[in-house]
Amino acid sequence: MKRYIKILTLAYLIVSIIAPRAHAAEKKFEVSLDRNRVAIGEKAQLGLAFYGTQSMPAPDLGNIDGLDIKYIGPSTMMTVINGQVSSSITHMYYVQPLKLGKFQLGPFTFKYKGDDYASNMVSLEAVEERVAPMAQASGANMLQQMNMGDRIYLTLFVDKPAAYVNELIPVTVKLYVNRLNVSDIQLPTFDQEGFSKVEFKEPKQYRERVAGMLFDVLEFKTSIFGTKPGDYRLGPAKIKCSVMVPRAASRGPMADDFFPNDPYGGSMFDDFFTRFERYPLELKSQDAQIVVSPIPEQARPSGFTGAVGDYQFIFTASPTKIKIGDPITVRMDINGTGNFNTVLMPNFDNTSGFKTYEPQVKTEDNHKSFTQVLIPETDTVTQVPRAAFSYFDINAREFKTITQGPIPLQVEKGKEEAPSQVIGPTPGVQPPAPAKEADLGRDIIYIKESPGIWFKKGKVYYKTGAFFTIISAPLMFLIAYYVVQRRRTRLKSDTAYSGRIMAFRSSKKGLKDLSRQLKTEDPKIFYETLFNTLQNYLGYRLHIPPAGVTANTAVECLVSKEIDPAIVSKVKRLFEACDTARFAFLHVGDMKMRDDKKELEDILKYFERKKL
Amino acid sequence: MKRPGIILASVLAVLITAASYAEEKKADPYQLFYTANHNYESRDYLKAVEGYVAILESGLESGNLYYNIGNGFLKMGSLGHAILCYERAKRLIPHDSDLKANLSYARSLVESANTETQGNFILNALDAIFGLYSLRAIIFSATILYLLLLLLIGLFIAKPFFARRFRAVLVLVVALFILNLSAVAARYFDERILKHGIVVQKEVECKYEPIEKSTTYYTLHEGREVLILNTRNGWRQVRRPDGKISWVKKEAVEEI
Repeated sequence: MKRYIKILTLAYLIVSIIAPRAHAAEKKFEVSLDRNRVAIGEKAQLGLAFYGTQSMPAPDLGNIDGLDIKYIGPSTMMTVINGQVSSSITHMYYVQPLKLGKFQLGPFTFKYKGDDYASNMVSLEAVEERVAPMAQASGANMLQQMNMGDRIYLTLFVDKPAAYVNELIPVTVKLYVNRLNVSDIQLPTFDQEGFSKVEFKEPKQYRERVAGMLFDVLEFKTSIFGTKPGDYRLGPAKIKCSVMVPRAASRGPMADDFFPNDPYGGSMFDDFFTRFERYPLELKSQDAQIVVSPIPEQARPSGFTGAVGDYQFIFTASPTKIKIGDPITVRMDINGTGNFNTVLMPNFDNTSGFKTYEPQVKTEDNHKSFTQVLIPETDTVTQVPRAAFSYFDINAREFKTITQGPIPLQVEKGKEEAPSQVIGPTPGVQPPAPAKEADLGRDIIYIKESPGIWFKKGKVYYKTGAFFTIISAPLMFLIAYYVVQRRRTRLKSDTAYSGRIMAFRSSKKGLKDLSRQLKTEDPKIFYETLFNTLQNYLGYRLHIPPAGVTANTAVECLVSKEIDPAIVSKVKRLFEACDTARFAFLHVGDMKMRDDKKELEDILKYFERKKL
Repeated sequence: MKRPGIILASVLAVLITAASYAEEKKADPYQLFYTANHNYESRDYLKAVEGYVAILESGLESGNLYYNIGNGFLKMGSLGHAILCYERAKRLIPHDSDLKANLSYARSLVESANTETQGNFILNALDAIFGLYSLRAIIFSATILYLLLLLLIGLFIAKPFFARRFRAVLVLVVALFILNLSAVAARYFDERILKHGIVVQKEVECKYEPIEKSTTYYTLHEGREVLILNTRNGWRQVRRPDGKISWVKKEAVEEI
């Protein structure tokens, strides 16, 4: 309960702080259309936005001849920026033209709670209905049908219609887009003969209302400067982009029968079945006139090198207490506004007595620095010479020269060579510190004296057959070794597996012997072999010592393992046939031996498939 | 910097001379190399480059050779060809400090230098570890680790006792092998699958389409590195480091 009281108190405080400010905010009334051209049967969306209030009821717009207006609903918005509260309510309406022509909406006036509200005026044009549905139009036709000129266009704006040579001219290219899906927007280009090269910065994106319509705007900014005097036409600016155009998928007649179109031309199927197609588009702006005037010749300083703008010049040198041959770093910074491309290093009065090196130049936004190394060659040098920077001041329209320096120097002679003496440290005397190293310039490091390791061009060892052999052979060997090793281990540890292997081997050998003995037609030897084969096989498979396998033990064991009774009886019969042939000395025919061998094979096949 | 016409003529002369060299009886590459070095010392850079290129024509290459050719081109003022040769040298002797210094100096001379692309963390880490070694060396070390790994696995199969005792060694070798293999994959992809190119002309107009009259999208300066995506009818489709794709004349960009 206490918690609720706290929350309510806090809410009351916030409202009591915000409410008066919100009320005090400026009241404004604005009318906008989402498009200003529609076909008969289509609808536009009209917004009546009241700023500074959120309690404004939906105004009655009355009847406007030729237009059907339906209220959709309100939308409210409140923003707090730096304590400043702004609130608004927008009442939305559908506007559908009933006849061809141009209609004016507004200016509307309303009175509410003693406040007067007056809006701007917007116009809506009703054109003929589309000839073909969007879905069947070709790409080019579709773009024409969509009245692209109203919904996407390009403008080129030049800040200064007249400028001096080398004077920076800000240029703005704006891409206006209204309710279109635009992608692949390239940077703008335009004809720029007589001007410096254009490099656009990252564009800025915002919304702008033009003639009552709300546009998404992409603003590209750059600066150019004229390189020679004359009258020029800049542009037209061009932008390449792609427009995503909705293309309704074909719908079956059933859809239309069951779900007729809504009164505003859409249907519940449209959003679901609409797919988009990409069409390339090149937009062109109008061009702009620029007059480029030459920089005056009159009163031009001798050191003027073409800098145009408004600049400051800072001049420093360090160290100022040095020996002959030590470097002095002179730094000259040019700050300000203007065309830094044409700013060159300020001129020294006189650099005699100094050895000079190429200056290092660094350019940033509104800043350019020059670092010059001077090395005094004599101790008669007493100062870093003066430097003068001349430029043409755009605002004052006159030449200006900023002179800096001179900077006093103390140049000492280098230590003279001491007379020859015994080498060794002298107690109490510190050896002089080595002079500080300084980077004075930059160049490439010298060539290699030897060629290094030669390689055959385009041939690499890792693409040769030998390399693949080195890679694959050990792997194959390892896999083979692993398989063999695993089998050995299994034979040792897995009795079922080893028994199965041994049984298979002995049966294979036995059947081979039986086939050979069939030709000799000696029943005694044949049935001896058959008995041994069956005995060994069953011994290994049933994990009984083969010598201990008889007809009875085999049958008992097979019955306990739930073996097919037909197979059990076959086993029993074969054992009996073997005993009869081995011990009863009865004559057995060739056919009988073949049948018994066939029966043995059937038994073995059965057991090979069976897991015991 | 001399005029581009002179440089272009020099390069053409180098290539023509190289072709005639190739027809001659193959000379000793060492002799050719030292002769070219002597020409370089005498500041006859064109003749030096001719000599070096003759070795290339004979079917041999080396990191030091490409480095020297790069120096020769830079002295002649052909920045694009110099960077191209340094980049080729880098693939053979990436650890060479002289090469690094000269390549960095040459790149500093490029107008509107390449914007450094931020690779991902893994690729940067791999580059930090294996950046000083050539692809050949990385593949060699990966092969050695692979054979060592097979040997260990074989030993563990034969003697399971070792497997229990030296499991940590196996894990270490596996980790090193995976790391090395990742470096091989990354480097192989960068050097052999991707086609890097260098702009070898002063200023190249990059167009939207491979047509002479097509609109120019942007310009590229000599020495800029690009990615070659496609080559067709005397045009190359290239991608700038910022991702912008355009078409340039084939002769304007040389593949590394």
